[in-house]
Amino acid sequence: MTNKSLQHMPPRFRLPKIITVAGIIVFISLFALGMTHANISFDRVFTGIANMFHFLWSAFPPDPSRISAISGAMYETFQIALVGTTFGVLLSLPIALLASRNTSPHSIIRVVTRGLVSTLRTVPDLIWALIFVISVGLGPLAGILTIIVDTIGFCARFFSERIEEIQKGPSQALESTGATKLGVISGSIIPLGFPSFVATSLFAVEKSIRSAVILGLVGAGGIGVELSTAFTVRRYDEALMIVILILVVVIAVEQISSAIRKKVI
Amino acid sequence: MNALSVREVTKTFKDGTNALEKVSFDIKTGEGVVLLGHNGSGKSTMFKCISGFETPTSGEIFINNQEITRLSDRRYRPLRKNIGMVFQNFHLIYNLSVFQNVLFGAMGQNRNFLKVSAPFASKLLREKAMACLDRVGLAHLASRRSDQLSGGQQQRVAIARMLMQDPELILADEPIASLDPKAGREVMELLWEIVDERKLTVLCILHQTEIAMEFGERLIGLNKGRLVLDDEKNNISKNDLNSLYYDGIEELSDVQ
Repeated sequence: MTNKSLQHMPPRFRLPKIITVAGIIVFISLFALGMTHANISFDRVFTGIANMFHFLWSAFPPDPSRISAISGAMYETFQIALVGTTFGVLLSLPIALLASRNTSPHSIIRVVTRGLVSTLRTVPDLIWALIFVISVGLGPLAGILTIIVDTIGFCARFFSERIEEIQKGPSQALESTGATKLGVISGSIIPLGFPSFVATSLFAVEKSIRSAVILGLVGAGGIGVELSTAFTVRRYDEALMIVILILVVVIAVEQISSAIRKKVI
Repeated sequence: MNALSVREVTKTFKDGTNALEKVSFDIKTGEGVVLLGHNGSGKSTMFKCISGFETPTSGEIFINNQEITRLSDRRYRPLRKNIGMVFQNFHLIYNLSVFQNVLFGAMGQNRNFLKVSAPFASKLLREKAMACLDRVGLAHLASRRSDQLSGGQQQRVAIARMLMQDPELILADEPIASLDPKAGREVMELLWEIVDERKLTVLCILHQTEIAMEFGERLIGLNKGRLVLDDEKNNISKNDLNSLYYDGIEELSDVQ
């Protein structure tokens, strides 16, 4: 080896770029400010832990006396999630086709639908729920509408990503028979994307069950109302019963959906 | 009559590479022509220009004396029904049944998608699909998922799909390049049998010289986007075939 080639050996360390340094400084200062602002003290953490034990103490044993009312509310939550997700998935497919590079009729339509989908996704579901409670009143309809919007934000995006990944070949083969664009989409894009669409939709169901639980807190129907009432009137044993029921249902739905997913893929 | 005419077709890609330079040839109705060339010779670009998946930078292409070079998808669509295409990678819908894939060949004649979907297709169409499958010897595999078949079988399914179109002209883009030699030979034999019995016109792109010499009545050769060979098989010498692989063509070129 010559001295000349040694000149090109990379240094062990490189000075970081100014922008990196600036970024790190901004992060550290925001973090420090956040810590002081939250007023975290040893004392507060300690009493917090004590309060937590107090809550658990009064929550045990869970009170099953209102189990039928609670189950009814949980069933409503499940219905909200199921109906909302079904409509959401059905609407997501055409929206995803409009938003994908290889199936969209025009690039302007694609950009507009993409923008719409990301807006639906960016606004948190609780805010959608508040909006729908104002528009259609308290109750499960507001919940269903929220879940529909939430599902479109999630599914349309993943459907569209899958559609864009689909190989050109099979579509070209159908196109070469003289098929119309709609024929190509129905004959190649949808069947090829189908397993992935099903998997995404099942994820959407799981996600919807979890958000439907929370939606009740703002009056959009379901178990959330029961939970918030139980906490407000300090019936912690009843609250624990509700939490256990939610856990059981959510876990059951997740298990079923992952079993189906394994079969499809 | 010419089934296909290619007139001075040039294709320059955005990055400045010349895939085709003033290529011209005619294919008469009923002729079986092999387009030969190695990787990067421009033969696939030629296929895409003829099939309408690319638009040539200049020049014209005529199919049955109708210019198709700059037709919109919509205007080209009715013509496509008569052109059967076979691709290197078969391009089946892998998670659908063999039968369904063959039915899709009738998409050009049926604008309503339900009419070509297996549960709703007419008895006539279903029987035709089985007849096409039978012609390629795969009727017994009709209910299988198409990705369960071997490569050679999949290509035969693709040929059956193409037969559903009742094509007059067949364009085949390296139909045997992804098959082993034995399966490849079987597919070529099948394709040529069908071409002979139905008196079809065929343009088949290949890169294997021996297969080309065996099947093509006439050979067209491309090298670096230029036509370097166009003759009846019997007039072609070994030297002519070497011109396909001759690398020094740039020095001969008057452009550079």
